[in-house]
Amino acid sequence: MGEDADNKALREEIAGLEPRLQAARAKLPSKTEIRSLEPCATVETPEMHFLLLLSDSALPLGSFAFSSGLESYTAHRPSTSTPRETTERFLKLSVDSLSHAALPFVLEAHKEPKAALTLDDIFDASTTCTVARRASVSQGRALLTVHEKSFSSSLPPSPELEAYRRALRTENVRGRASGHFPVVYGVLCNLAGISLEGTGYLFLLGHIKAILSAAVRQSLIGPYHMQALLAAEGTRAIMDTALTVAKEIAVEDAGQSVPTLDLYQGRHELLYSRVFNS
Amino acid sequence: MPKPPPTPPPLTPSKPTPLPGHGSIHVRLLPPSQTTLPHLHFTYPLKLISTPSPPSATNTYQTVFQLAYGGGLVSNDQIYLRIVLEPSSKLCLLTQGSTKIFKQKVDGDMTRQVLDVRLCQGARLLLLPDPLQPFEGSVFSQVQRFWLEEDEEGGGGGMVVLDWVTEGRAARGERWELERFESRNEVYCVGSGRLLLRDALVLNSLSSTNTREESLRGRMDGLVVFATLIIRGSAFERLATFAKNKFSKEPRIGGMNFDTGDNGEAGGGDGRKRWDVLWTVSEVRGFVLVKVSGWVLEEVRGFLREVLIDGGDVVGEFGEDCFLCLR
Repeated sequence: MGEDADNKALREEIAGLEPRLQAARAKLPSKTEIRSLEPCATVETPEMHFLLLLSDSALPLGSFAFSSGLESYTAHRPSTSTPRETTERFLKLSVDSLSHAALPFVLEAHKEPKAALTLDDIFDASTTCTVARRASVSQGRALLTVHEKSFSSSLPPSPELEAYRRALRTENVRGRASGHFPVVYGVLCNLAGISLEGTGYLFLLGHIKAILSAAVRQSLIGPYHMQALLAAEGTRAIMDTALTVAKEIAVEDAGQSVPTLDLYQGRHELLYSRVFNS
Repeated sequence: MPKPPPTPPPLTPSKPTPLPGHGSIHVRLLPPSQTTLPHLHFTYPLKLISTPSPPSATNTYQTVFQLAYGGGLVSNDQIYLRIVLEPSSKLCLLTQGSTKIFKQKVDGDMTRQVLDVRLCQGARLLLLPDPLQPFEGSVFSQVQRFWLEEDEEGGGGGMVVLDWVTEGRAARGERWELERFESRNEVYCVGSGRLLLRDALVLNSLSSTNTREESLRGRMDGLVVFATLIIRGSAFERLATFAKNKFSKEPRIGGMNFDTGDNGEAGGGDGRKRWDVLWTVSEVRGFVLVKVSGWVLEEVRGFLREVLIDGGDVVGEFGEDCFLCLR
């Protein structure tokens, strides 16, 4: 009984001290408090932090304006299957095409950021679909701007991205860079310390999210099904295949593996009414 | 690091390599307007036959037929053709019938076809072959490289290149049953080696073990042919403009056609047949690319012929005899 009474007294003492401690802490200047949190290794590594930032749909790249050909694809293929099947098929075709065309450039730019301008020129020469070019340049330039205005203060200085930005505005037309999305993406992810695999994965995920989000806004699928597809084992499998395929392809050997997509996407401009830019 | 660019064919004709499947053509203009072939070499299994332009033609050119024994390429055939067009010369390169690509015989074998063409100032090239026809189980890779002078714009030269592939032996129900097919068209600058354009098609049969995957045939949405027409240079500017205008006048998809009631013609305003094709035009770095596909080969043929004839330039430069593959 005596023990119990002692414990009770101690508990009461603690209960009384705790608010006093908190009140005392609150009186300290806020700066000190932030410093006490600074070793943020428990929160996440900087790589993971940038991985999450770059995968955020709030990243101002304007990706929501592009459907990567989905809109034109559905317009050219009047309902032979359910909207859900259409979306899933298009997703597979588009990821396969991406793994042979753009993804090798993302990986190469990650491996060789110094070659960014050469890669940009080669990608520009290799992308023959006007609509796809427009989408790539628009998002690539937006990502360069995000780096300049938002990330450059938190990331180590990047002479590659500086030179890239300058090359967009150079006087000489022949030496002018275009700012293609896959190349900018690879260089930036390298700078942020994201691994090669992580970069490829992130680029694929961004592509898939953009397509599915376009599918939701086109009322092909609902938002719950979009999340179901994103989470699905099958989707992860196609991403895995795409990454494996792309790793084996040198930028010189990139090409179009789904020729129908170039045709459908190239005809996007002929749509009487359109929601998206690609 | 991206690989350094390949080297262009040398301007001075060298002794031809007597390797199987190798060939070289040199095209020269004898002033005022006589185009000749000072060099024409080939080794089995490649065969080249040349004919000068008909005497009536005011602006002469040379026509060369590229033939293969048995009308096709068998497993592991390696064709390497090198062509130099000297300043202001004109060459029309054709085939006689589609190039059949036979089944791979030994694992690891690849049937390959490489074409290197160097165009000097003012030279004009017309490459209008019949379509490639990859058979079931074939493994094929084609690379066509074109080398242009740095400031070729002012020289009045240019090129029109058609590259197309069909599904296989359709009569036997063979539709896109190939194992692997690759066709690349690359255009480089002679001086800097800079890549100006790369149009590459890479088709892979998908592993049959994975039943969840759609087959290559399924992926093609019933289309039986894919054609790319590459147009470049001031000599073919009219054709390029024509193609762009034609595409911009295509009927809108999913819109109302307000014209139908007026002229009562199903085939569009001028009363001509509307070819049942799926096509698009893009303008990329000084090139105009026309991509055409369709559900029937004849429709695509007809469409291409119409574009090339109505575009004017090709007939003006090479007459109508060059449309063999489009008849």
